[in-house]
Amino acid sequence: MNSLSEITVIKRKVLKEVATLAWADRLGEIDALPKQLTKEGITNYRCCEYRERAILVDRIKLALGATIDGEDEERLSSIAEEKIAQQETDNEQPLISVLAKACDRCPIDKMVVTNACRNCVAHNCRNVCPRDAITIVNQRAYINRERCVECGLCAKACRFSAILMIERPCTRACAVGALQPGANKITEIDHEKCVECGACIEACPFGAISERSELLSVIALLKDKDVSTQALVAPAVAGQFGPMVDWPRVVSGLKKLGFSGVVPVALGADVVGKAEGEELAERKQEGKILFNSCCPSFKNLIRQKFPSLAHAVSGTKSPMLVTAELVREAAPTAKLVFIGPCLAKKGEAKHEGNGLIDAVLTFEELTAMLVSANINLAECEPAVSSEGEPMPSARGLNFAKAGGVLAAVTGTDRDEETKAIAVAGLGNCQDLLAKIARGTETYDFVEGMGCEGGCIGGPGTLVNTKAAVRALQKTTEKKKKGVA
Amino acid sequence: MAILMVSVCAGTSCHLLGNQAIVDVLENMPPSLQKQVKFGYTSCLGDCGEGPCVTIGDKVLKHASPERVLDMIKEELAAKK
Repeated sequence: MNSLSEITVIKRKVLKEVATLAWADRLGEIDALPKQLTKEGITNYRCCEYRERAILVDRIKLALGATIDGEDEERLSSIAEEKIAQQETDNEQPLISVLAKACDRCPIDKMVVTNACRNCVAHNCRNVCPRDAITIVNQRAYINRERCVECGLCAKACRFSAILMIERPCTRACAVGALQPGANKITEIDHEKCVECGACIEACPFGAISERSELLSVIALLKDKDVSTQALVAPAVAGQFGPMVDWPRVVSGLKKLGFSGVVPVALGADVVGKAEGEELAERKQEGKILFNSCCPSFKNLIRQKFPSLAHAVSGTKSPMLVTAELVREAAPTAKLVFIGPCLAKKGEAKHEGNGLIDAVLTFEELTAMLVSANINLAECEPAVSSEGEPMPSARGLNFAKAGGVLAAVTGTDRDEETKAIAVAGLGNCQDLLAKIARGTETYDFVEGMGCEGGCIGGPGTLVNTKAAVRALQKTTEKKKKGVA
Repeated sequence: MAILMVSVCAGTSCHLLGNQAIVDVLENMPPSLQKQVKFGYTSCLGDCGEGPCVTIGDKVLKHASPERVLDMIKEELAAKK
């Protein structure tokens, strides 16, 4: 989850205000929003209010679903107008962007000698440096940037901890190396490498990286009374809306918001668990490895860095798409909105969705929409499930946490000889995939999750992973006891 | 010893504005405070938009932050003694 910093709260306030204007058909007034928000107390960039407003303009553009990479000086109200006219979200544009005005241009040099250097006699730093990059200048260790290879040995060798090894939080968070300091030292994203996991968004303490929202198109769908819009809610929903909100309240709140149906994606997860279990049995006979197909960041990582392993990814569609097919069968003309913890699902919906999914929202965006529509889930009457309504199993719900897919696919009566492993966090996935590609480790089944903790650790969540796991456990225990 | 009642608004608006951080600190209070404080949830205090809201004893704290909640709990406990 985004830690609850000022940055997170600012982002949420922006989403809420934009949604409020959209519901009321008052987006024409949006040009006044940056000023209004600074007046209400958003002043984080201490240099001045004007910079704050300029950054808020970019945040609002992203909330409107527009890009900020261009140089255009277009007014927010005209951007909003275009976006409404456009109807469909422009998915060809990058999902994640750097807010150049907010980027603090953190230092690029990794090794930094601090004031704590006492110019000691031992000079362990100099002795340990494999490239002779350290000399003593002005009574202090000096690192020659031309020679330094940023190995960090000097930092470890100094008895005073006077040498720091620092890295930009964004570049450190990006396991695939898609972020680099570009012109003017402002971070740039290489969208060819980016797997859309969203780790950099959470990592930047300046809130200088953010994602585009599809809020506007969803509100337009919900306002259109001639259109039936169905919400497909990811299994990671457990606990997302706080301790007083259970699934029946989520259903009733979403219906109040205008969705005509609310479907748990865990239903699709149940189907996927079985299908991948059968696939696993087949592949094992052929001596082949199987990877889960539900995490789009994991799949993007394989496609981009380990193409030789692409054949191992399961041919089963993800729970989101399987659920979408189920809903589409019952309601052929309905518009489908996936709501989950994930940013990469936006890309998956576009590239693999075949037009099945009309929009993807995060839990964070949905909550901003609920608040802007004055819906308090904690006070919603719990929806009563109709008889014969399909209910997901505990296994399907557990797709939300790391290890859950593995448990479902390998089954409870796990074959002793099945060698399976679950990894979470993109860096860990990458390490494991490298070993598999080299042939130093072999498995029958690998569950790879781009986010630490699995989906419930995703960037679009509202509660921390611990609280979410607890809520998920409570739900699955109820299931096992047979209580709805 | 009288127990100080603390209730965190768990309404959707306060949730969006970050009541989670407050719940986190309340769940991890030092044992000395845990003995004197009982915390729970309420669904709305009617001050949406000024959240997160927390009731501490009979006082309502708006725009609450974890630090302000802990400070106020300590103040209220001290006042009771």
